[in-house]
Amino acid sequence: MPDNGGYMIAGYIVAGAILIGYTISLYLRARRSLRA
Amino acid sequence: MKMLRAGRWITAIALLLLAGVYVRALVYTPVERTQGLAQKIYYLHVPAAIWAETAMILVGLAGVFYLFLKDPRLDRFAAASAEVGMVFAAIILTTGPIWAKPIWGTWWTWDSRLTLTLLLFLLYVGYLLLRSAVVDPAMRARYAAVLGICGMVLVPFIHFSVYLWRTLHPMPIVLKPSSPSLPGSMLATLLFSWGVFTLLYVGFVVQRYALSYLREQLEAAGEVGHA
Amino acid sequence: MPLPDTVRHGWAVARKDLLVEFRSRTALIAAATFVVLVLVVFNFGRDPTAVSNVALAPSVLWVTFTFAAMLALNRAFQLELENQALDGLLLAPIGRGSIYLGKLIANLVFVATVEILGVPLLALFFNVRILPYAASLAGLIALATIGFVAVGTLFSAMTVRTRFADVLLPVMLLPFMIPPIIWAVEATARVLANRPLSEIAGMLKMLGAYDIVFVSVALLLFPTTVSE
Repeated sequence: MPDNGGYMIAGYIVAGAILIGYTISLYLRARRSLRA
Repeated sequence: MKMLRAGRWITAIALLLLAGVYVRALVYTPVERTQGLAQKIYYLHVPAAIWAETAMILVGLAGVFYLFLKDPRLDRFAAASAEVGMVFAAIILTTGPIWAKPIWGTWWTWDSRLTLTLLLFLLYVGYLLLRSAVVDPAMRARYAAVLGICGMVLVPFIHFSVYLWRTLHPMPIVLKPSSPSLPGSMLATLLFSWGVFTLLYVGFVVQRYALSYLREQLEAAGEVGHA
Repeated sequence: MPLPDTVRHGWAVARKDLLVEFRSRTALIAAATFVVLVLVVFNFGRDPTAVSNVALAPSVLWVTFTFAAMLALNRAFQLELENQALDGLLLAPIGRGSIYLGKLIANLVFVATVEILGVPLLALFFNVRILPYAASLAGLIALATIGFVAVGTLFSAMTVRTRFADVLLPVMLLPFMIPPIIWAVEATARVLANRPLSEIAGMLKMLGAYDIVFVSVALLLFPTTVSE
């Protein structure tokens, strides 16, 4: 079996980062609109 | 704002469940023999792909209904679905190459599936760009509906081309005419992940919808900028 | 046999546009310059021992054709921006569909002109045999062109009234151009390499389906883009 666990970790980290990043973006944008 | 809070709760729960998916996929799902560990990206990649395409179809459908009913809620939903769809498309475009490199030896191939995901992403970019380029809300909703409908019509062409072009991409093994040929434990992980991505889609769309509504109110009250 | 009104009116709109366009001729000159430029660049950029002309020909053809299409599309509704001419068109006793058809025909004629000039030029400068394949080439070029020009005409009606119109049209159009272009380029490559027609049958079918679907969709949606 090929040894490519590193890629697996990278993929999972990137996907997670995008999802969490978007969550934060939504939160911040809503907060900015609520403040105005 | 009630909708915003609901959206945030749904998203929070979804993210927690996502952690569960991670654990299940990384630790408790068997490793695929020929591809090795990297194959596990599949469990994130496929649900994201399903929703990236579905989101586009929903944008188109919302457009169709908007042109008949002129209900601004439909337009708000379309904008939300487009943004979320773009996020999911971004996930495919990043995890795809990361998966491809160890398996096929190259980061990018003009394989039909990857190309078509790129197209889907470009569709979203164009859609969101169009929305930001039109100032009048009614015109914006109408134009967005037109583009959304065209995008929705394009997706089946893109989808069925997989069967026409020669491709490196694995042929569909779950969403194909005969029954899925994925072994039980892997199928369960995939379904679990798909469920969580569905929840994520809903949570994100609800939040983004609420955001549009908030911005529209600000616009109406005379603040600068638009939804 | 009298043509249906929509087609007759469409042709009238097209004639108007084409008369204006051919009198000014700037777009044609721009397209011609680009064709020559591309031919030169591609020719001097290749390694003659590694890459044959026939291998590059399909790409050269389609790059130039899509550029011509973008030129045509950018101008399609700009004519009407001045002097509120669009209102005049809309007030005329013709259906909205005729306006779309007219614009489409005018755009197609423009792109076809570039194509009719470009193919022989390519054959000449690149030393590629095209005569034996003229019929299949013409058919497939026509099918592909109709597809993306149909969508582009619809979009240009919208972008002409938006803020960053010049940037917006290519971005919006790109995902709709890529599938027909891919089918067209692959088919062109096979035709020029003298492969049997059966190999490109599938691609021709997709192109045909694409054309039928998107011309219909564009006709249906066009009125929305010009209504108030």
